Amino acid sequence: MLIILRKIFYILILLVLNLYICEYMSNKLSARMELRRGYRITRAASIGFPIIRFLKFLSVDSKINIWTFFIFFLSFLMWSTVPITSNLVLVENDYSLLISIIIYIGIIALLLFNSARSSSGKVFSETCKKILILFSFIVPLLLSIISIVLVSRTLSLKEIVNSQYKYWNITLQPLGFLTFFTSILFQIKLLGISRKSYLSTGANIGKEGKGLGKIIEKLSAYMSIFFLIIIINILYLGGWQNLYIIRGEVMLAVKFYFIFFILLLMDKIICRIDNYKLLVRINWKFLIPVSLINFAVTVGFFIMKDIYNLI
Amino acid sequence: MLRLIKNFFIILGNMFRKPRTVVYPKEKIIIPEGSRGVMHLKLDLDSLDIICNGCGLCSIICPQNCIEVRKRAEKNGRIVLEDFNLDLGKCIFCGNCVEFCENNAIDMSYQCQLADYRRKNLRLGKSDLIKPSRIIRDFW
Repeated sequence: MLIILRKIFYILILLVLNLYICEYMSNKLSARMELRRGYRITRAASIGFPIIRFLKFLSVDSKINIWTFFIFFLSFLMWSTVPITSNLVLVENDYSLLISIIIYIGIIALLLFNSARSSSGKVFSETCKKILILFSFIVPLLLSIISIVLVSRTLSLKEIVNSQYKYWNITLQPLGFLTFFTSILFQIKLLGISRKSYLSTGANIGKEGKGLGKIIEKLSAYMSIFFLIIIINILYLGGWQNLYIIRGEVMLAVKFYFIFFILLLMDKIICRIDNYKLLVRINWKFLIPVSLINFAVTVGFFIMKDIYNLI
Repeated sequence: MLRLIKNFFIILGNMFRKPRTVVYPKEKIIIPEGSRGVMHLKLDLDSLDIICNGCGLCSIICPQNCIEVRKRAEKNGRIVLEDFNLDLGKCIFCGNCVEFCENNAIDMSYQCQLADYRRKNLRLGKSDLIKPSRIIRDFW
C-alpha cells in the first residue's frame, strides 16, 4: 500500500513539475519565436508566470459541471496505465496500450460534452467541429499504433520498450513515425496550446469559461499532449532504454522536452494552417493514405515473415 | 515544402535574435526620427511670437476637422491669430496641416503618450501647443 502511495506521489509530482515547465516553455519560447519579449512578472525571466496565470484563472468565479470532474479524473487516471519509467507505473497489464488509448479517446469525448454547458450555440458547434476533426486525426494514429503492435507483437507498453533494446522502432517504421508525429502536431493545434491559434480562439472558445473549469480543460489538454509525447517516445524512440552510459530516465526526459520543443517550433512554422477545411484535407489526402500504405507494408511483411516464413 | 523549410530556419533563428518589443512601463526606447506626434506651433525666435497668422488653411485641409482657428484684426490692420484649438480625440496625425501651411508655422512634435481619463483634456489650446517641451524627442 505504501509503495503504491509513494508511486502515486511521484507520478503527481512529475506531472505537476512537467506542467509548470511546459507552460513556462510554451510561453517563453513562443514569445521568442515571434521576436517578442514575452510576459515578465518577475525579474527572474518570468519564472513565476505559470503560477500567476493559474491564480488569475482561479480568481474568476465560474460554474463547473459533472463533465469537468470526469475530465479531471480521467486526465490523472490515464497515468495509471502509462509507464512514465520502467518502475513508475501503477497498474501493470498486457493491454496497457489499448487501455490508455481508450482513456485518451474518452477525454476528448468528454471535452465535447463539457462544451455543451455553453449558453452559446456557436461555441458548441465550433467545439463539435474541433472534436470531430480531432477524432479523424486519431485514425492515422491508430493505424500507426497497429503497425507497431504487429512489429513488436504485444499490447503492453513495457514490452514494446523492451523489444527496442537493439533498434528503435523509428528505424523500422519511419512512415509510421511521420504520420504519428504530424497527427500529434495537428492535435496540439486543435487542443489549443498555442495561445495565438485561430482554431483555439475561434468563436470565443478560448475566452469563455474562465475559472476552475477552464483550468481543468487546460490541464486535460496538457495531459493529452504529455500522453501523446510519452506514447511516441515509447513506441518509436526507445522509451527509457539506456543510451550507452546515459540512464534511461534521463534519456526519456531529454526526448520528452526535445519533442515538446519541436512541436512548439512546428506549431509556429505552420501557423498559416488556421482553418478546419485545410486540416481535414491534410488528414484525408496525406496522413490517412500514408498511414494506410505503412500499415499495408507492415501487414505484408508480417504475413510473409510470420505466416509463410518467406523472409 | 520549401517555404516550410525556410520558415523553420527563420523561426529557429528568431530564438537567438534580440526581441523587437519592450516591456513598456519598465523599458523604453527612443522614438524613431520622423515620427508624428502632437502638432506644435512654431515660434519666431527673434520676437518669440507665434508664426501662425491664422489663415485657417490647416483647418480647411484637415480631414478630421479637428483644428479650429480664430483670427482677429489688430488696430493697425494686421491679422493675427486669436485662438488655435486642436481636438486630439479626432486627430489622426496625418500631417496634412504641416504640409499645407504656407508660413511653415506648424510642426509635428514627438509627443505620443497621450492617454487621458477625461475627453476634455484632449482638447488643446494655443498655450498648450506652443510648449517647447513638445519638440524634445521623448522616450517611448
